[in-house]
Amino acid sequence: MSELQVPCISNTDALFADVYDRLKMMAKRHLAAAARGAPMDATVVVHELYLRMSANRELAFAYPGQFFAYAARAMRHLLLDLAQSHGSLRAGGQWLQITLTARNESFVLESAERVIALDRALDRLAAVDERAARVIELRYFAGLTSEQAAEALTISKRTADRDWAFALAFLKTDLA
Amino acid sequence: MESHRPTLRELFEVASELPRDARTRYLDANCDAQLRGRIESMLASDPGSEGALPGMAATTFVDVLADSELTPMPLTGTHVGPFELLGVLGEGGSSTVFHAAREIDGVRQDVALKLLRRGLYSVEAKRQFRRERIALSRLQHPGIARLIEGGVTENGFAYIALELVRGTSITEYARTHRLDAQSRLRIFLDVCRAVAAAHRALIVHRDLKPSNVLVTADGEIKLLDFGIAKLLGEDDETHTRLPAFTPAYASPEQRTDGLITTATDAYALGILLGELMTGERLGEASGRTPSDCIGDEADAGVLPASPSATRRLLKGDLDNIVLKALQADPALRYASAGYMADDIERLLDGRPVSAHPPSRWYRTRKFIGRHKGGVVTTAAFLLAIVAALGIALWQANIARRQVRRADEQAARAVAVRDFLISLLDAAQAKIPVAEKPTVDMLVASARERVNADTALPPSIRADVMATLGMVSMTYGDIAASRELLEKSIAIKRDLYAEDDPERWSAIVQLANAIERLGRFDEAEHLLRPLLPYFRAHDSKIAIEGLEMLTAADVRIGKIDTALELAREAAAMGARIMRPDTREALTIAAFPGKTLSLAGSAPASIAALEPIIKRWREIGLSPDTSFCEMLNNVATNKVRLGDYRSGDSLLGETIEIERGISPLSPILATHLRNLARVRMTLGLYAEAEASLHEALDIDRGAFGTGSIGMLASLSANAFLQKLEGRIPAAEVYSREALPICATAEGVKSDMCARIKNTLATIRLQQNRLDEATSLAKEALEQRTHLFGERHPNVAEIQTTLADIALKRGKASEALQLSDQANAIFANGHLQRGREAVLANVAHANALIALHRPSEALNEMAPLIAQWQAVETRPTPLMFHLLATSALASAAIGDGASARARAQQALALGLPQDALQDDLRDVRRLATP
Repeated sequence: MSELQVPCISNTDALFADVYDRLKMMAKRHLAAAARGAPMDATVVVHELYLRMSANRELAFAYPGQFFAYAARAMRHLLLDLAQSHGSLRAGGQWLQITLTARNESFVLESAERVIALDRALDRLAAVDERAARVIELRYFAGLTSEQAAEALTISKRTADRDWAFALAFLKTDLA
Repeated sequence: MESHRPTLRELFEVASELPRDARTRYLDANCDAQLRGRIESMLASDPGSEGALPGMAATTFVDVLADSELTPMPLTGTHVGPFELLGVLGEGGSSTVFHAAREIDGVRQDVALKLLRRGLYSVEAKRQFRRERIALSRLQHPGIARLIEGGVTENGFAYIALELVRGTSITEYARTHRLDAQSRLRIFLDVCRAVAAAHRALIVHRDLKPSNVLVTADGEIKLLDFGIAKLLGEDDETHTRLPAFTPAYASPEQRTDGLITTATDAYALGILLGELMTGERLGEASGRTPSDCIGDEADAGVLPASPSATRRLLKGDLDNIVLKALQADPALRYASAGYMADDIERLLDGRPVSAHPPSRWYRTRKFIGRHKGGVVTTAAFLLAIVAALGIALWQANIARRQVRRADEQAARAVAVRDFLISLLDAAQAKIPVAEKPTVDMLVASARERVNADTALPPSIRADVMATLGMVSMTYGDIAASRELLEKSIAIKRDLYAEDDPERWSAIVQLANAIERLGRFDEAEHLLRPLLPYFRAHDSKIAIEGLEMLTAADVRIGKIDTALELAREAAAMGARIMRPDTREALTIAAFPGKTLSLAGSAPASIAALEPIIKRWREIGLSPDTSFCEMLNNVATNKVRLGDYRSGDSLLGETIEIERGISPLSPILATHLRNLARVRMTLGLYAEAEASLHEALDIDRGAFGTGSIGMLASLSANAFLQKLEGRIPAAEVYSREALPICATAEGVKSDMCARIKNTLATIRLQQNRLDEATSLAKEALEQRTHLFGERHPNVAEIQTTLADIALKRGKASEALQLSDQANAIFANGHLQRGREAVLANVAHANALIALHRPSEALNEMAPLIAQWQAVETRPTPLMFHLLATSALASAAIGDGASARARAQQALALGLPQDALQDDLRDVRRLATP
């Protein structure tokens, strides 16, 4: 439906694996900081990651937008992996007993379920409108502003806003 | 026209713009009830709220989820895959080991089941796990506990089922059985052999320690957990990373996160051997020998004999073996368990062991002693392997954007090296000492073993093949090289994506081989499609690809694109390399070299001289590529007629190259170039000395009868012919011609050169038909290689002109020499030897056509010019003077003819070489 290039990211892509690994490490570090009272901020994490990765000249991002696409996707995966490890542990309790050290077990598991549900809804959205799903990824997972997301996808801000409005309406009704 | 069905998005967007009743009408017209319900609820959802996704912010989720530690607790009696868990055997950092069992066809199978504590969710993690598992399941050795099965449960938990071994640890076994030193060493030898078998499959244990080395009730050893450390140790940053090795047995590289190789296991084996013999664990830092650390009190059975007897037993060889295994630098250790096993075996047999601490040269000396003749080849072979792997390591470097992958690649390169070196040793064991192993024999033997070794993972197999291919290439066996590289690429095609450097870099190497076969059009076809990948990956291998494509383009006549590509390669070099380094200056010189290939001598010199100057200014020590620049400038100066500069630059080149690698074929090339200059200058004796040296080098490197010999053979044949020693020239030609008849030979410019030389010999012998057909073959070959307007082609045209003249076809000779002269003039090469010879042919044709005054006019400036270039007597001057004399005689100016003829005789040149001209000159010189 659109002639513009939405970066195609496969999970086996080496570049993606690298972004993901770094993000995971950084998230961990930020969480450690969060434990001391500073809340973790997706925008800060992703931008720090960008600075680190673009300082490495051997990285081959064709343009900054490509990086943010990767980072957003990586954040989405990170979240899904975390959620699945909780969800599957609970569901697979046949041979494993799970002890959650978190203060509020049901809250954690509910969060995990929500993350997984959101991920699936995003997949459905992508099937209907791929670019709108990318806008959600960039804004929700990578913390980009509407302008930045538009730039990353090389579309106008107006188009990005329309994508966002449609995507939000889609997800809300889909998850309802 | 069929009406367009609006998409969900169109419906939503159009409807949201419409006022209420228009909206209703629109939806009525365009959607069914279900879709309508969806659109309406979408429209009803609050559009204005920024960032309001249902639930909470992504980062809040991360906070919540990552903050809650999970501690899975195993429950016995439940199932994992087909296995029932029966009880816990042990717990490690990242896994729990269960005793488990299943029934197959009514037979109960007991296994040790390892359950990974973390889940494998991503496709890549699962694939990686599967790859490793397959590699391990191929590892079949009686001394290694088998991997029975592995998998991932529905919940994403990975497990592996291993052969359940009942036994005691090796140290415990030695103690309780009160084993003596010999028995301990024999058991340890079995351990080494089992580890060596795994090393041959390129699997490193990574966690060798007594509890993983069991001895069964029958006294058989069983190694547990082979390669499992790697399977478990894949990093997982969300959870605390536990080292997948045991610190007391871990090598320095494991502790510092360095490269894990087969030498890592050798280190652990060293600790194990020390512990087995002394009861103490020694580290590389302890600085003590095993015999030093035996106390006077030890529990019964810990030592193989009384403390003092044990000390005596250990002192010397056994101390050395342990110390060698415990070297901090992996390169100084046993490269793999096999080498250590060999030493233990020698020790048991009472033969001298290889471990010999004070001197790294010890082994080398022994090696040279065993293979006197072969050592040059072998050392060269090793050098070639290292060079080939140097390329592999570059590739590892450029792929650093994926850090783990780079490590993997580097580890693979080391694995391939060790594998090849072990092959080399094995090959040499088979070859009688008296016989000199040639590179061909070594490669063939290595290839056989690679093909036979089914346990080799495909990625390593592909790398080994590629490496062997590059080694073959270094040694000129291009056909073998090509075959190996093609096999490697076929494997890589299944492993890597099209734009993966792993894949296309192999194609670049293949193109290299194909270019060496002279099939430039084919190479161009291979490389051109890769151009976008080169451009997208600033890297050394991309530069190499650009270089190969440039070379191909030059040869197929696309000079303009070639020069562009050469500049592109140089620009990429400038981007990715540190300025003023060897490699940066080398790639900067590439356009200059390309210009030289394209036949643009002045431009090439102009491009190269500043780089040479810079090289000297910053005081870089000269190396092979510097030599190549000097050589390029030198040969171009010679082409332009500046023999003096050429001679001195080549002399410098050779001196440097001799210091770098006195036996390298590159030195032979420089020597031949110098010989050519000296031949032109008539310094035949000096030329001959250089050529003999070159011939010896080539025979040593390539072996008699190989294509690598052609350059030296053709140069020698040419020189002998120049000196008038026709039988000697024929001897060299006869050795060369069978090589020229082979598929690669047909493509070699050297064969064209030899044929041209032979054609001039046949011309002299008045066997004109043979001369013509030889010259025509040479012409065809060179036209195919260089295009029609290359100086090399002009050289053959001159020969054809000489033949035509002898047949009495003067106008044909005139035309041919005209064409040759035009080509030389076009390249500003009028002052070179070949151009002068073409002029002489032209003048002779003019004389035959009764236009002697024109001939005379052409000769006069050439004589003056040549006298300015070279004051020493040269055969070229002789021919110029002779032709001039003939022209004067034809005009009827007897006095001038006599003067020129006497001048020619006064040069005092050896007369054998002066051919027909001598007769004429003698006739004209006498009044």
